[in-house]
Amino acid sequence: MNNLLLTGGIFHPFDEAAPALASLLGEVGFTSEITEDLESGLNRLNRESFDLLTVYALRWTMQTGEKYEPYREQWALSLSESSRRAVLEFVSGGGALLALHTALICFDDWDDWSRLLGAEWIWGTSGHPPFGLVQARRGDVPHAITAGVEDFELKDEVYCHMRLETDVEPLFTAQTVGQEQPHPVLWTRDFGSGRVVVDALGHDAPALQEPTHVQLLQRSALWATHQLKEAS
Amino acid sequence: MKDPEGLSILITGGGSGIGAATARYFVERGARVTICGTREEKVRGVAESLGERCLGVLADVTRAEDRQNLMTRAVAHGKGRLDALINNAANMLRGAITDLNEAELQEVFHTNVISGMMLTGMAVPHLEQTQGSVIFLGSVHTRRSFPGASPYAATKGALEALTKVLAAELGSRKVRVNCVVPGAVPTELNIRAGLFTEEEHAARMDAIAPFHVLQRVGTPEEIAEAIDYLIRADWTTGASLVVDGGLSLGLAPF
Repeated sequence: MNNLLLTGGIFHPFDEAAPALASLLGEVGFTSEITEDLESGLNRLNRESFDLLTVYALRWTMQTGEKYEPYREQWALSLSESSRRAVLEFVSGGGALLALHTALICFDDWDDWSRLLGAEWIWGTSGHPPFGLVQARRGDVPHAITAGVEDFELKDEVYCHMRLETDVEPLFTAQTVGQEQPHPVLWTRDFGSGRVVVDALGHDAPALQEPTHVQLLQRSALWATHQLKEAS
Repeated sequence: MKDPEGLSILITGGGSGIGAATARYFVERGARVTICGTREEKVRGVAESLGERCLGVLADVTRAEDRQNLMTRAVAHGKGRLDALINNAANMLRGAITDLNEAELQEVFHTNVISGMMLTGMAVPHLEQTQGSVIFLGSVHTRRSFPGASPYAATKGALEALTKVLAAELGSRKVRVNCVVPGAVPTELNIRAGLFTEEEHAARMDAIAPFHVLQRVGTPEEIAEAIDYLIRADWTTGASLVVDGGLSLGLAPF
């Protein structure tokens, strides 16, 4: 199984975390090609070459916010039409998409991205408490990805107050210690013949490498590529 | 037969008339619908009135890049799938055969026939996945003759021919192709083409009503119901379903 892993962006240790992700997916049979060049990567995306597309990057138009000004020249991105089409055709044709953490903030000028994910980051509304101890709880929906998986704790960021599509059913919710409400952090989507898994956790390598989280990430990749049996 | 709930449907046109009524019909039954057109206010108005299950795309179906964008957006709006393409976008062109303008004739064939052929080609890979179908909108003009309407009638005749040959061509891929043939239905088609004022159009509809066996013109919703049937009829392909209140039967004067 081949995985195209798109990464890179500001304020996150992607240099360390992306290889960590590739390594844990490698344990269940995925060979990852890691790139920070999203356009060139997506230019090569097709179902003959790849089974899975993983987006673990933080790339958006960066049109607002003074704190992002110094980073705009290097990191601001409006994905090209051909790349957008490549993603949609890959997934609708049966390819798998794993969207991790900052993927939820990516491609803010592309409506269909939020449709693929079932969630939209709304600037000025969405946000997260500081990185800290997080309690993750399994949701009530039975699913092959979470079958038999226990609640767990990790140090991470919990994204809150995104606009979620009404049919999103969280497989896991999470809350930072001290937060009053849990927020959905893991869910799946069908998109045409393809499958999408969104995992909103995973700020850094240790967050990805928490043992239960590893299991969820591995199962997510296997489920999205139709290699995991459905829960009975 | 499939239930419309959850189906993904692309309707070309849709800012008014049969397209808009069909969009409403399917959205109300739980489908996800994409409409398009060149009249931004019309398209946006219909899409907004139908809520999040309807996507309006500004697109001129005679332009290749607009068609590509339209198809991509429609499939994305349909959560990666497409169950039906309804080739509804059309313009009206009338004129005596002795007075026809070649550029205008090419334009109406481009809108009414060629754009639908190109979109159908683009839709096939998606429809194959869903065992979906294509609908063309024919016209009573292929059954009753309206002197001076040869351009429009010729385009609609082409669509009925296409329905049969494409049904045969795509049958092995489990994609069905059918045609709805409406009678007189009050829409903006003639008014938009600048041929008649609203009052003249209403008067013409009144005048033609008695030629229908059922003594009245149709409604856009009644055409939507026929489209619904053809989308869901798993063993129907290459068919032209005449929904015209009996106009094409040719009511005798006594």
